[in-house]
Amino acid sequence: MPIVNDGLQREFEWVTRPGEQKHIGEALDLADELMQEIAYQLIIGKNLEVDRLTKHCLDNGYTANHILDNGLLNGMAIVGVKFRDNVIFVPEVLVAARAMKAGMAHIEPILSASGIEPIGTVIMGTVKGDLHDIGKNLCIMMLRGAGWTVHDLGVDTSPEEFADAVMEFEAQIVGMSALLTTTMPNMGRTISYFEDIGLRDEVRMMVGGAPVTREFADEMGADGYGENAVECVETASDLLELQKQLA
Amino acid sequence: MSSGGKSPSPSPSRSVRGREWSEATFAGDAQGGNGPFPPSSMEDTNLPPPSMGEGQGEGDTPNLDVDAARASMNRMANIFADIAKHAEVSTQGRCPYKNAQSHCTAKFGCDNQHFTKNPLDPPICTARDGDLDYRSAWQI
Repeated sequence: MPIVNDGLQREFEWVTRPGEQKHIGEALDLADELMQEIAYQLIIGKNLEVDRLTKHCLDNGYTANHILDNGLLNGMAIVGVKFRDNVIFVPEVLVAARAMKAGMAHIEPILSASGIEPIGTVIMGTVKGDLHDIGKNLCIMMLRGAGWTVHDLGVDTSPEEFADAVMEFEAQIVGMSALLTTTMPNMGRTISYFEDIGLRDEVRMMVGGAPVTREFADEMGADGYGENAVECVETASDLLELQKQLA
Repeated sequence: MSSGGKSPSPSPSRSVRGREWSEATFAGDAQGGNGPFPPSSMEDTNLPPPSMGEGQGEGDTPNLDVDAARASMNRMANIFADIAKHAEVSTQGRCPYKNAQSHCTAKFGCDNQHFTKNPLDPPICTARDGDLDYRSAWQI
């Protein structure tokens, strides 16, 4: 059907490359009114609406495939185009990713029931004393998009909070972020705390952040280092393999 | 209006790594799923039964075509990967906490924050895009 959602129509007008217009337009042709509404609410970052609509659709017979493709991913594709073309920026992308997560919260149990399990579980947080979170949030977005379960502890996270979360969620990997040179040592302190309480061998620990280097990561005893969000996913995958080998 | 019934067709998997920005990223090829006819209103629950995939495979449930779902997950990963790559570039010249309305979204102080008279308004970011040293304005 044609785009009948006025908001989505306005958003689709940001898609100007002919190839993308064709492909996304064709995809939206398969989206009925409810799917268009999910896509639009995701684009504008309304996580509660995406949550409600996704649940409503599943309760009323829509398949998870249909909602994923024609609602959530259509919306996220337009978010990606707008970001690339500098119409929106990192904060808007993260808000849209939060809305995507709200919808996926209903889809993921269906995926799991069909054998599509999460790759693994990661605990993510910015270390104690540090309030900078945007790099961490980009990493979380990437990890979730790649199929990981991520528990976000936010900013100013103490070693005890990291350890408690690992035990609660049986995570295989901890990801620590720091932006300040003054808080970087708290990564090492967190690793030491894990050693002190006998939890170090149970989990792989990766670090990242603007001032963090591979050398610093090695020096403090981290298992892995990611320079950016894409590397974060690759590092997590490598560490999970390592953890499996050690188990 | 689409005529419901068919689930999305399976499509080839894609790798996240080594991809550049491309139109294909946002197009996907797992489209083609036509769900049930939509309700006349959001509250209408008098719907046809859930659509079933054609030729269901192992692991499929009445509510999921596994192959199509895997293709969709790959598409999602690719979209996020391209977003992350662009974020690397864009944050070299624009503070990542500055939104499209030039408001600061940081939860910490910054020398570039300009507060208006209305305390409910978010601070405006006064940094010019292209400033490479915006981080020096961040306050711990």
